[in-house]
Amino acid sequence: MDERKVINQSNIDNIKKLIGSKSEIVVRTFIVGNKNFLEAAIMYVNGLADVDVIDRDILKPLMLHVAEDLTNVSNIEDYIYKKYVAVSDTYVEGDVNKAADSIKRGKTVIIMEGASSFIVVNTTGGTYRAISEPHNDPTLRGPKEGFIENLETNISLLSRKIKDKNLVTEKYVLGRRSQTDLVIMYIDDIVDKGFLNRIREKIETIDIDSISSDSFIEQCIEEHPYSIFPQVIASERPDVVQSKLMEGRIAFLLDGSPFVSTYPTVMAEFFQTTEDYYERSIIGSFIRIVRLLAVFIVITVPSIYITLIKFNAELIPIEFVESLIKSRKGIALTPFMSLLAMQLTIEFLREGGLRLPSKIGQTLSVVGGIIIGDAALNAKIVSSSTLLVAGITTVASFAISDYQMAISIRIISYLMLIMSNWLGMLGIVIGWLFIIAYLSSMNNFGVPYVSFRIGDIKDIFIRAPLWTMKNRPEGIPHKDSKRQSIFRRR
Amino acid sequence: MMVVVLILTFSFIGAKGQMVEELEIPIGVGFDITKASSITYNKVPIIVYSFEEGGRVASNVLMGTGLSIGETRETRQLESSRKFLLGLTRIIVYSEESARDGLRNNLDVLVNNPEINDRALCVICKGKAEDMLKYKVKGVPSSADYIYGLVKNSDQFNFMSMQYTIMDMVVRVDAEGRNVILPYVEITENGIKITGTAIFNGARMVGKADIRESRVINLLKEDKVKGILTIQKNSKEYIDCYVQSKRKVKCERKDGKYKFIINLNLKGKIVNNCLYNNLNSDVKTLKTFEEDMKKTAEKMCEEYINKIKCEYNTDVLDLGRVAVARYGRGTGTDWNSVICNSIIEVKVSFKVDTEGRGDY
Amino acid sequence: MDIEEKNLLTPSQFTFTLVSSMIGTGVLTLPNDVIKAAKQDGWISCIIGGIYPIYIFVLAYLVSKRFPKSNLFVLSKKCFGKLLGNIFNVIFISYCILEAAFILSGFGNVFRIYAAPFLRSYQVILPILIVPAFISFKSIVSLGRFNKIIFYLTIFLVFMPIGVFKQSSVLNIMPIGDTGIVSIMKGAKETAYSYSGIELIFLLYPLLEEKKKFLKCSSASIGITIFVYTWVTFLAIFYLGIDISPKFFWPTIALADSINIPIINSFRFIFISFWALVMIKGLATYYYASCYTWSLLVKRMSKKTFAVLIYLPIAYIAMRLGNPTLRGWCVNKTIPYYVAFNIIFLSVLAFLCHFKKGDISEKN
Repeated sequence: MDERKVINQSNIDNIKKLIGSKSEIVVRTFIVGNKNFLEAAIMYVNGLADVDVIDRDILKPLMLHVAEDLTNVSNIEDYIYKKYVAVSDTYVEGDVNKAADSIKRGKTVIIMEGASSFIVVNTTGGTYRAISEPHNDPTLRGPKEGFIENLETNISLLSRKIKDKNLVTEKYVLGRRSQTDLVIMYIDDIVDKGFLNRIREKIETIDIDSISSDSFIEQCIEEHPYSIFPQVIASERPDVVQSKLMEGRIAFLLDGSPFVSTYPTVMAEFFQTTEDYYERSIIGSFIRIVRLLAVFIVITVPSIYITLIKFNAELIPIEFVESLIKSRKGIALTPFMSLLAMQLTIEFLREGGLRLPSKIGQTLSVVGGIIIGDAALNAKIVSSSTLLVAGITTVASFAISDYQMAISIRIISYLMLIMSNWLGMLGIVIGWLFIIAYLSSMNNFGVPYVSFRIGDIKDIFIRAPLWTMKNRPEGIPHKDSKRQSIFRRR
Repeated sequence: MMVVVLILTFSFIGAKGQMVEELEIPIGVGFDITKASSITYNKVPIIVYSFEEGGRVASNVLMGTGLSIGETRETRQLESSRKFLLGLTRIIVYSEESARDGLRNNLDVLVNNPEINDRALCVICKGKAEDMLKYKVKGVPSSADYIYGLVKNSDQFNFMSMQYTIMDMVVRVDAEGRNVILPYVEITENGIKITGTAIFNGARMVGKADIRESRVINLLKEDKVKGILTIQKNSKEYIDCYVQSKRKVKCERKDGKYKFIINLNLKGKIVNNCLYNNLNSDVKTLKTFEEDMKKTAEKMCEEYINKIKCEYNTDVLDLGRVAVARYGRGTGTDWNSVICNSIIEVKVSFKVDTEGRGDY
Repeated sequence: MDIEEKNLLTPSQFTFTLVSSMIGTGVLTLPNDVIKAAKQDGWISCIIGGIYPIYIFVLAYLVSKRFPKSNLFVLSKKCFGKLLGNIFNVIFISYCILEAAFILSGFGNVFRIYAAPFLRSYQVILPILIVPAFISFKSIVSLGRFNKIIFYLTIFLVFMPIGVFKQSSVLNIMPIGDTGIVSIMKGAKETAYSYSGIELIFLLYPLLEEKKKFLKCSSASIGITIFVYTWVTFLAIFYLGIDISPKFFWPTIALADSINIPIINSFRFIFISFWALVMIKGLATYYYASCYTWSLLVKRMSKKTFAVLIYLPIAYIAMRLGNPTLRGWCVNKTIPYYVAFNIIFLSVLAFLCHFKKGDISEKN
């Protein structure tokens, strides 16, 4: 008996060492069996495991309901878990490291005397946030579920939506110390295998300390870390990820992050919102066009304004010249300076509005905007037309749906401003050319960032009716091209 | 990356521009000539906006004098407190004298400068352009604005077309078989008025037509113009019709002599009717009216055609163009003299379009 | 679907790259040259002048049937021997570089007159050249995509002058055919400069991904080019008339003025900015061609090195070319020789290739 205890104890100590002896491990020893009882112990981490399940489904049956003599049973762990452990996800694990890993994830390990392997019972519990509507991406008409931090729940949300048998999940562990679980999901017969291999290679190269959000992964494996443009898009909504998977993408689900990122990402995705798809096609197209127009305005309007005033005054429409000159008389700063100052002030207001508690934040933005604008006008630091241009630019930048993209575009508009101040219209032309050239040559894992296939126009500039989207977009590599037939004889 | 920044910085050095509020905004440009012994002086008055306190806009005339047009810019800058910009002009006023002397130099300046607003309107004025520009008109910041409005809206009546911009002029001056006409304004005791059209041969003015003649010229020369035609029996009984014209010209040549047939298709709106009874109810009366109008129009045209043909020694009506299209370009024919010797026939067809609200 | 690996052009990218090699600054001055020779039938000359690109294309097609993977340099070395072949290759390279410099200086001139009179020539030339250098630094696919995107952006430019129809008249182009065949032919000769650039097809076709589409793509690009040139000349004659058009250095831009949009004072501004995109597109193609050809010749250095090296010579030549007259003179002196050289060289090449064996590993 002592020997068995010792064996057990050494196992327990091993596992404790692997997990970390100073952490919240609970070791509960108990006795199994009626006549010749066996020593057993369970180990779990307090707070990660669901104690109710342990009590009810492991301890109770094993402690109270074992009415037979187990000493002669060979392969005791196999027998026990098949007969007495009333929890569905249970298996036998031979590797002590893996057993330790599973304890860290909230599972319970049963160590039986005389057993050569461990029984791992899935008792993951702990409190998580409830499934609620994602704040950042609300819709009027779509489902209001959002991903939460729990990996299993997230996987279940997706599996519920895609019941195709080809939906594959692959597990990885990332992070030296955080050892966070990463699951990639894709649909096997749509995704391009070469691309998949590339992604796999990339994941395996990650060597980082701890990963707390999926944006860390993005920053580690993206191919152009110094580029202004974001290269990966993430979403909190399962329905969004569902449609992306349908097009041949791969989704990264990280334990502890409610955002699911999808690879590869093309630029057009940053201008698509879920609302587009739940509205009717004409409305969706209209809104999309407005959004693209907003992008153009944000980048070009301040630069054109500066160019017209500073260099090419003969191009200002005659009707505006009078009022323009009247409003600009006596302004202390050059237009470039004043426009820059105004844009910066608006950036401050915007940033401030984000961080402050909501009641103050709103008041600040409104009051700040109005008062500062008015004061600046009266102090003759800016002219009213400059203020108007700055205001329009800002408002237009709010129309860009993705937050990261909006910031990128704002940065570009500053750069264009500088270029146009130096070189006038040439500056604007060079700026645009540079943007186009840069976008043309950007590739993510072999997939071009901007691609202009004719068939894809249906989803980039307008939103064609859903029943016409017969083929998958060609910008993303995939194997199975046809996704539906045109079933409406229109 | 560094190289790029360097290059851009290098290019930046020396780049200059000028703020718009520090520019001289010309609204109108004039052109005068004075001849003293054998030297011709060009005087170019420019009327600019000056912005007063309280937001009022007034105007100011700056003069430049010189032997060449370029020199006038220099002398003018001596007077002006701001930088010169040619771009936002709305109207160009040529004095009659300079027009008769020839506008070719001027046109060259306009073509050469890309900053010019090609849609500025050109007019010829009686007397000096300077006086015209200095004239103060109530209710508008400057006389140039007023003249601009004048010419712009002149196409409502009098069969004037709005094709008096710089671009139109440039296109017509040297084109084979085409000629320029420009509105002629003068200062009367009631203000600035359009009193006729100036007829050009190439880039030189050769004559002025008064308003009655101008109406006919316009009707015969331009397409899709509007104006009023009247049949008048006496001072009480007449009928006015606001017509819109469509013009087609056919050309034939027999034994070296050209014959031009101008087909005018007029569609009219009855403005008032004190001549015919039962115009609305009786189809026959309508037909009679149409016939009468047709004859009146033809008679009016014929009255002036002979004068137009030869008095100015120019192909005023752009008929050479049709001949050229038919018989070949660049043959060296002097269309002006050919037109004088040719036969011009006018055929009018007239239809009533709408009849208004009622007949009193 | 993983195109990047092969670094080849898709059919549409190929089409647009070819188009951009032909439409450059030529289109701005083309109407004048043609009108000088053929008067109001200039537009017919443009159509006839299209024979030149079609002919070169036919040659390329024949050669590509036999040697789908070899580009011009390899072929010329094969057919003419190493030394002579290399000499011809060098002449071709100089053609590319000169053409790039011509486009650059032409662009600089136009831009400075119409849009930025306060800039000096080096301030225009140097920054603009950065963009093609950047693209050449990357791959041919970047160039292809760049050309494609800009083409779609600027296609509406071609149709803009439709506003002109209202103010012009058919009388300006009549009588049709009056000038006679000889002058029309002479006019066709003038279009040779504008159509030149088609020779790049010999460099590009090995880079085409799907060789079967070669016929379709090239005919599309030649068709587009012929259409654009004819359209522009036609409109110039239509609106301005043959007497006025020669008075403008760049009649195409004068056309742009005809468009009367209420608020915008002068549509010219927009036209020039978009036109700048087109010109830079052509410039990028030639810049890339220069780098690529150099790297083919001098095997040791890579294309990227050349992308940086060529920057200075092209900029320098462009700046020396200065004003339009000097540039026009240079162009007129050099381009006819090049065109003649190209025609002879390529014809002989195609002829010789017909008799040589095909590419190894080629199923023909």
